Amino acid sequence: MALSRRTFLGLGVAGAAVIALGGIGLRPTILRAASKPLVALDERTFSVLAAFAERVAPGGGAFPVASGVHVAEKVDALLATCAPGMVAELKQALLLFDNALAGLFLDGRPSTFTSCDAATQDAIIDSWKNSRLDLRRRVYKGLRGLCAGAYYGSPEVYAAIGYPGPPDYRSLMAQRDAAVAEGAAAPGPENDTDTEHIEAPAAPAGAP
Amino acid sequence: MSGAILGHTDLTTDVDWTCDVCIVGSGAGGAVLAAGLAAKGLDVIVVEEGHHFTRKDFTLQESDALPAMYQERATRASADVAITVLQGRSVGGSTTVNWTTCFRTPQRILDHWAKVHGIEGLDLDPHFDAVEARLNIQEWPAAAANANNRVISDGCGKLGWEWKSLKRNVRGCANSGYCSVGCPVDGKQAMGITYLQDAVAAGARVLSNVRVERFEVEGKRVVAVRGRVMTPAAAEPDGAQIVIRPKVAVNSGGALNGPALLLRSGLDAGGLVGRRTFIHPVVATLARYEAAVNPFWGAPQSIGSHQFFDRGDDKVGYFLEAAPLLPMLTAVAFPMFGAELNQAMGELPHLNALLALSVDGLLPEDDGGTVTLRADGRPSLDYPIRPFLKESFRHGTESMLKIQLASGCAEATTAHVSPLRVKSLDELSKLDEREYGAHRHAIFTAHQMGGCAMGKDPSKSVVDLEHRFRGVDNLFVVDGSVLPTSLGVNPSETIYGLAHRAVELVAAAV
Ligand SMILES: Cc1cc2nc3c(=O)[nH]c(=O)nc-3n(C[C@H](O)[C@H](O)[C@H](O)COP(=O)(O)OP(=O)(O)OC[C@H]3O[C@@H](n4cnc5c(N)ncnc54)[C@H](O)[C@@H]3O)c2cc1C
Ligand code: SF4
Repeated sequence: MALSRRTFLGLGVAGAAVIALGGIGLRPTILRAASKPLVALDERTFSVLAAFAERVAPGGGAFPVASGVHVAEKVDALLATCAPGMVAELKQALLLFDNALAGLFLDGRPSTFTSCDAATQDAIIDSWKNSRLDLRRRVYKGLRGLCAGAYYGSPEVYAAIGYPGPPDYRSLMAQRDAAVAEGAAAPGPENDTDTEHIEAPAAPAGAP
Repeated sequence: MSGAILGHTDLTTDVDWTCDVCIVGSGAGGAVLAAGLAAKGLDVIVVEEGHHFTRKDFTLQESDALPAMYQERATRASADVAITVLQGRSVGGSTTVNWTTCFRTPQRILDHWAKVHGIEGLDLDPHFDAVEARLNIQEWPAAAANANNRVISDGCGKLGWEWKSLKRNVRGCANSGYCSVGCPVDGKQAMGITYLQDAVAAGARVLSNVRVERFEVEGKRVVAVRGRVMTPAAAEPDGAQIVIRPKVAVNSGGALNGPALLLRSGLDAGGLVGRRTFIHPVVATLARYEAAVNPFWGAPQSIGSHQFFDRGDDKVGYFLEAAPLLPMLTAVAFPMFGAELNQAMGELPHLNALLALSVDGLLPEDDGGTVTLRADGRPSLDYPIRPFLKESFRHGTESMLKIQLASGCAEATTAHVSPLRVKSLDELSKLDEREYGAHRHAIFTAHQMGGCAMGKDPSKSVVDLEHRFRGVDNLFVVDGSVLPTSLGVNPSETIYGLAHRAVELVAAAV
């Protein structure tokens, strides 16, 4: 049986050692309280994720801030339904991302991500995003995807991006079901290509 | 035995059942096969890991649908996280969430299979006729295409490039645009409301919420299919033990999961299982228009172009389609964060997205990706982006930008980590300044194929031309994993057609 020992991050032993040493003598992770009991992450990894989420979705204008729509709590809830192996790797990634020792060696910054101010945090994220090290790009991509997905999947954000949300097809179907129950013909092959019943999405003048 | 779809609330105690055929997976392959076998009077049990959803369950919110109906809660990715892998997980498999685009297998691909993989005399036409009738596969009227898709006809028309209206498996489609989160009106002819219903009506049992952990093999026979109940929100199987002892077992778990199940069962066909996995790797570009496009509404894909499908024997071809833009997946696709992301997302109603899907597996040196097992038994996909694919990505990106510019966009952008923005054709030379490949830009796949390649030569293929797993007499593979290359078209209809053909082959083995 071909068993791959590669993990999501490919951190290996050296990465794990850096994480284990990370806190000693350097600035620790700044903790944040979750708005509900954690189900997959622990306090420390949650805090890193919440801090990261806040930079992915800092709010501004009509946009709520990440914590306003509980992005990190939503990711925590999602992770509770994911394979434990994947969650373990993600926790490792969060600790590595926040890690002060790695920051000191690679970037000359002796502090954790969570203890930096917003501008520094943005610069750190940017450096991971464009890093020469694929490992850093991986971590950026994984964390960003989870946070951006949870944030823009929140109906509270739809207004800011001009998405009206899904129309109410349930009522439409309830009407159709009631009509069929009263003997109306169910939609069938005869009206398949007939586009009359199709509400063509509005084609604005000048649209492509 | 009367047919039914059972779930975790029905399967509360351990079971040990016998049947004629046990099919693992209820997607495009498994459902069509189950219906055909049940119609022959065979006792069929389909085992599906995902939940059984009906239209009444669909809220059309991605935050509900993606974790519920996609593999690994929609977080699946290649081993290096560079490629986002969209794959379905529910009764109906990926068809519950797919975008309904249907094509017959191109003749060029069938010829390639005959020549290179020894798959001769494969006559799928009568099978396509049958599934097209059952699933009402017809061309979607151009008049009903949304603005997001009309970018392709407009742009290609101006450039003198080929384009055409696409066929869809829909009946009474309301043109909503929500195919990826479950059709709210049962317009999509997904497996859950078509072939699986036929199968159940003919007596088949569908066990949902059951993950098959392995095939138990003795000598050259599968003697049992072993699984466990998984409640819908569980991370791991957490319920009753399910043992099915069939005369014939069929793996229809789809690419990635299907090969992983074989590997967990100790069946690696001499190291070939999991190899030659193809994914139609996708690169995307986005364009902003002054007028609203509303890319979240309207049939997701209705117009496409095969202008660059065949780029000669030494290059990877690609085909072009549009992508619907619902907020969550759009945000995942964008590479940026913070205010820059807000600004890009704020333009959503004015955006168009195009996709270039590279046709992998045709060049002699292109053996695609490899599926192996992670320590916990989940599939791991290693898919290197080799130079010939980078060239295809670069070419495809340029073609899409040309289409968007020709159709009058205000600005078009690549999906690079730092996007390249262009407003005119003369800026396209800047594409050479960019890198292509893993972690350089977004890469997706919604079409997983291969890993159990069909072929004539036993030293190069996992299943024979009759879908039989080499070395195990009563095990068949009927799903997208048998494709020896990618297809150059969306795969569902090819898989429906192959499964329809496989009905006689599997029945003969009972
Ligand atoms: C978002 C999206 C859009 C798409 N759009 C299109 C399109 O427009 N046109 C098109 O042609 N194709 C499209 N596709 C692809 C197409 O739907 C798939 O190629 C096709 O459904 C694959 O068929 P299959 O039988 O191989 O696997 P699937 O349909 O994926 O079914 C496999 C099933 O097996 C189950 N399974 C796997 N392992 C196990 C196990 N161990 N135990 C129990 N159950 C298991 C899975 O949960 C799954 O439900 C799309 C796919 C996605 C995800
Ligand atoms: S576009 Fe049509 S088939 Fe797709 S979800 Fe909407 S109504 Fe259903």
